[in-house]
Amino acid sequence: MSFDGAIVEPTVLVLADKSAGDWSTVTLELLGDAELLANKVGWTVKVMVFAAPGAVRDEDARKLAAHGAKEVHVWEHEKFGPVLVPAQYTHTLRSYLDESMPRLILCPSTPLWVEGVAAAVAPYGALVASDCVSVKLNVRSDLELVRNYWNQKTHATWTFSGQRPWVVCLHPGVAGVGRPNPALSAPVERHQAIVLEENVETLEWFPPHPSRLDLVEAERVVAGGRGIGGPEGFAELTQLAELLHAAVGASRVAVDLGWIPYSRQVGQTGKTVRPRLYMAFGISGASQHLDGMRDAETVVAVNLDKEAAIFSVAELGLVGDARAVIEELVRLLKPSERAEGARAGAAAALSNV
Amino acid sequence: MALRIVLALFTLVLAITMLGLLIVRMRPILRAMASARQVVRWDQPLYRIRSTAAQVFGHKRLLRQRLSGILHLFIFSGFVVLLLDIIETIGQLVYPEFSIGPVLGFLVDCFVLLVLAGVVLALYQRKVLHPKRFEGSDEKDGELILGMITLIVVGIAIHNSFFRLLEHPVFGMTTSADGHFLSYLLDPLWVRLGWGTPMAASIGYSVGYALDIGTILWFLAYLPTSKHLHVFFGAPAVFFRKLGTPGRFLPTATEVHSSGDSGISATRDMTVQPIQSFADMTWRDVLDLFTCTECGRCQDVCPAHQAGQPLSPKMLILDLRDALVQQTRGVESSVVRSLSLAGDVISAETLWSCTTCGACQEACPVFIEHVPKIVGLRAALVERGEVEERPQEVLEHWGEERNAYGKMPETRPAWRNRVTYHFKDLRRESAEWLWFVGDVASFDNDLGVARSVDAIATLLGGAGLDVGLLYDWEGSSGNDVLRMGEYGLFEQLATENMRAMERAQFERVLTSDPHSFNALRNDYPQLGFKKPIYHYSQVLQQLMTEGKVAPTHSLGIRATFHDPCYLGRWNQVFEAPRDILRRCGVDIVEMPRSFANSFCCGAGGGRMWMNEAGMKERPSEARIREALELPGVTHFVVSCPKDMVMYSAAVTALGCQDRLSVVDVGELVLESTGWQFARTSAS
Amino acid sequence: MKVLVCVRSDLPAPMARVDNIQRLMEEWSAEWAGVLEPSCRSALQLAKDLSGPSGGFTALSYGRGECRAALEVARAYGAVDAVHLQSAEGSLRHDGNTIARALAAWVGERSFDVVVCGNSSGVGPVPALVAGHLGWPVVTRVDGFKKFLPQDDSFRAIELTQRLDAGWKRQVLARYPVVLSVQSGFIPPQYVSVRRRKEAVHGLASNVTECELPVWTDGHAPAVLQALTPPKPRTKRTAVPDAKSSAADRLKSLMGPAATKKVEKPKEDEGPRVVEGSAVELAEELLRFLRKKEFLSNS
Repeated sequence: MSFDGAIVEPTVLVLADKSAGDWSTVTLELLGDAELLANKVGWTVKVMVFAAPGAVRDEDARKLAAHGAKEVHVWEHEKFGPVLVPAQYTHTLRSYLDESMPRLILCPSTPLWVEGVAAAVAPYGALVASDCVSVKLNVRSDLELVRNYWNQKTHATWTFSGQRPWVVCLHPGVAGVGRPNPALSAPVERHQAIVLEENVETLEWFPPHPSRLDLVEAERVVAGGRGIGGPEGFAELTQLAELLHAAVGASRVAVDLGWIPYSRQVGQTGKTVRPRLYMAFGISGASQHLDGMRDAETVVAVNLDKEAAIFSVAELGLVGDARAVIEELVRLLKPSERAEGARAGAAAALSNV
Repeated sequence: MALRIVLALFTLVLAITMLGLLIVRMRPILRAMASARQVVRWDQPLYRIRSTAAQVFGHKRLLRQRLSGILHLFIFSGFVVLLLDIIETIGQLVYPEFSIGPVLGFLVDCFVLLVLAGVVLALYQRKVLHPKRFEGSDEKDGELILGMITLIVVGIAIHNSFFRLLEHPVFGMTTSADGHFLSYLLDPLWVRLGWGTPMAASIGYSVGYALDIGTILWFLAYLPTSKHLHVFFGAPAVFFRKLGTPGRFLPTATEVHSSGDSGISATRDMTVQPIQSFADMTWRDVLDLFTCTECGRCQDVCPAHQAGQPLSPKMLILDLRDALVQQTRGVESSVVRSLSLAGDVISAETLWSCTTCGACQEACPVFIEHVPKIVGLRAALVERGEVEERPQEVLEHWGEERNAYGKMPETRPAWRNRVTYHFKDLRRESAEWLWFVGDVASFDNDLGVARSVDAIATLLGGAGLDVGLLYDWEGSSGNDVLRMGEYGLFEQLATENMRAMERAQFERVLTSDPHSFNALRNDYPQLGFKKPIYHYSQVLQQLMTEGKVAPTHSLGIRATFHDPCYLGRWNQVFEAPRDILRRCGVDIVEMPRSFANSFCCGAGGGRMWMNEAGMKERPSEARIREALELPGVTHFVVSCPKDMVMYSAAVTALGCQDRLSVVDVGELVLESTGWQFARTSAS
Repeated sequence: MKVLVCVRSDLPAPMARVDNIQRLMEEWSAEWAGVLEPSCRSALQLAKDLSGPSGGFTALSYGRGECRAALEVARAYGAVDAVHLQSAEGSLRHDGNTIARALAAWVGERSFDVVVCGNSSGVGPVPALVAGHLGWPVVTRVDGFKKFLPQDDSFRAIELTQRLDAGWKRQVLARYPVVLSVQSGFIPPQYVSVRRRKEAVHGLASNVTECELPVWTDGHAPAVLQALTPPKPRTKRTAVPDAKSSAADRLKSLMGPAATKKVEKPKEDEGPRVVEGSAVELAEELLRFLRKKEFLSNS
């Protein structure tokens, strides 16, 4: 439990997230913040990636460099794809920290990273802060960070000091991605990771499916109503959901019509959801429905009726045939199928194990 | 002589056996009642007697269904006449010259025919019309009883007619005019058949006697396991019914304390208990189970049943009765013992289907109280924690924020920013009236609800009424909470509201929400609340009478009015809203189901926030269809914010917004006054 | 199986405003009824299910007076022991790092098989930190458990389903001792009625074990709370130079990544926008919007 007093190196370690095909936005946001800090006090920005062999190509690493990474360490293992599990990278992370302890670790504030990193760094006595909005060094070289509190109703400013490593988990989407500099490059080191889950053994994997994704938990929801025209509309909507990594929801009318089961209903007599993105297709926005989704962060609505109530809560309202727009979106998003295919293939490989 | 002795012995033996059986079979039922919880129902004895007579002899409720009512009246009157026949028949056995006289004798025969007509009608109803309400009833039992009744009255005719043939030859009497006119018709038949001899007539008399008296005794012994136990229990059930406003759920002080030591403490503890087992039921509840006649009138009017949900009030009573019978028979294997009433005997889905609209109780000819049982069983589920996800969320909101919507209590009066009328702040100043706004009117974002609240506010302001609000001191009245079976939470909400109302200075309460109206009018007084409470339609009616709200032009529309369950059926307020509509020049066309028979919108008892999966048709949509049938009706008038929410959604779902608009009484009154609804510049 | 569940009290969600929270940080006022933090409800249900109908479990909470609320609900769920962990360090309530150390220190001296913690939105570090301090495995985001294996001494374990990233799930076999974390809504919880809650309050009156933790003297610099402020969105970096910024700034921005001049969000981004057009145009507009909002990567 104690920290053995290893030397803390003047580095910022960024844990990069590539689980959704490309680098997640928050990875680039982290790099931006890391670079800002590093420039101020002369630290080095190192990036650590856990990926299946071959999943991180050199051009991917270059992109990290363009956003400020000075060293890229790729740890490869079959088990790091198609889905990364917190407990499966902690051993690798610990063995890396044993050798070189960074001053600061930056990672996305998502369940995948917070719980995995916290478990890994606890024995070193690290100070961890999750759900952070911003981070900087103050005049005394203490770390000053602003955190979301109570469902983002309040911001709390904390300071970290002392000799232990600091871990800051940044809330996705708050920092913004800066302009890349393609001229920059960074050495890429590839290592063979060791996955060691002590006392926990995986028995079975269950790949995701939009119609099984928990609506309440989902970060993104695509929902359909009467305007999408029938069960076939929901089949297409499910496809779109898959492409956007979203869960499928529905209005009461669609459930009434038997197009989709009750468990997918959003509204007064259904589920209450608070996703970051809510996309309503062919939903007019009866108060019944609005009740269940008004706390969504960003609402997009597509409806034929210009006067539909849903537009009053939508940040972006599109007047048009919902079904046609869904089809068009699926077509436009499909080309980036390559990565999807790889994931599906890996999933298949995994389920064969 | 020998004949009389044989018959007397037969009667004696049969009577002892059958009456013995009757006692043996009745005892467990009576014992179950004795071990049940007490509730005192002796208040207003004279009124009870009067109304029982009207129900029993006048068939007041039964006659609401014409055919069934009439045929039951026929058969029932036969039972009364039966007594005369028994007296005569047994009397003749002892002393052959005994007679009830020609007039009564004539009456007996008239009723023999009436009963037979009743039986024929009953069979016609059961076999030909076959109403849906009999689904699930024990029809064999019904038919067996009809058969018994036929045997009895046929027996009467037979033994009376043979008696005349025996009078002279066997009993040595002179033939008297006993008034049994059927005998005059039958005797020639017997004689022609060659059964006029003393020997044959003796046999015929004995057969008739056995059919009559024998079947009656058999009937008595059979009763305890039959729906016909209502012969015994019907009248007591009517007599010991809950008096006063039907909407009261909590027992009154007199119901709880027989000695009348009530009213000592300002607030009493709530005396309702969840129904975990039969011991938690009141004796009245147990009586209900055995009084049920399986007529199915409750099932016929139940909105949940019509929507295709698993609830049938009739089957609920019968399932409970069967479970109790099993227990009393000692079939208490460990399996039976481990079954819980709420959940196993009656499924949770069934219990949560109920909208607590009370249509079943209103329809029941023997005044069975279904809703308190359902609520009591729900309470057992609640105490065990078995509440669906969505209603659970709502219960928690009630507990934490004192409103169903999970909004900050401070935002409760936010709606008043929309209107210019300045409501007094009863937390600081005094006013004549308190407007208890209720959850739905305060928080729901339905546009119709906002319109109606604004209209009422404008009317009250325009009439110069001295009205104040409790602001964030107001919490949900808990009417639905109580009926969801969360007794503790109701107590908490009611106590807090009553404390706030004690601190505030006002004389009377008006509310725009029938559910709050019901709780404040009927249940709060049981906890010590004393102020008078009015529905806003009653207040508007008064203001119009006083001329403070004066319609300046006739609206000239055809509309139908929907009676909210908690205003109409539960609180008997039917006229006020209709009266003010008429004064505004509204031509009211009644729906087939109106007044006390109004059909629920489906939102009550917490249903507003529950899973609707598995519904064939929402009650609200069925109701809108009913209104659409009315010729020329363009407006569907409501007087309850929940109705507004439900029916606005139903009209949208049915896509008939162009044909029927859902409006609040207040909106129409405002329109007819020509007053402008003044929005504040702030909004 | 010996189960410990860690629960905490919270402000009712609608009351969570800066002023209330500030006051709360200073001193828990008795006028506020704390409520159980929602994910702890799932944790309690899991603890109850794990320990079975006959077995009881222990509930632990920390903080000041408000922890009663959590312990009451725990009691109503069937916790047989209720522990209140106190510390001379005032930060025991707010700072996850200190809380985790304290919990681990307390658990380490006892012999629990399973420690269940709630994790409100999956981004609380406490359960994982506790596991890390104890050197136990942690199974995060548990949403169910299946069966117990034969409980002989050599191999004692439970089978759990765990939610992973992007809708993946897996079934795992975890040996004791283990820390489990669960998010709100993952385990459908039972309702606790007001009457049951009141009974629990009654039962709790004399039944809370108060545990005082020593002040650490290992030179561990704690996190320090400086201020609580109303939430203010951070100004975002953008990849595109803003038309409204000065020419110098734009030039700097174009010159490279070092020029991470933060720019105000353009005004026209605020407020709703309604667009009409053909399906193709609308779809493209939508994708543009998603990219701008960074729901889709810009590549």
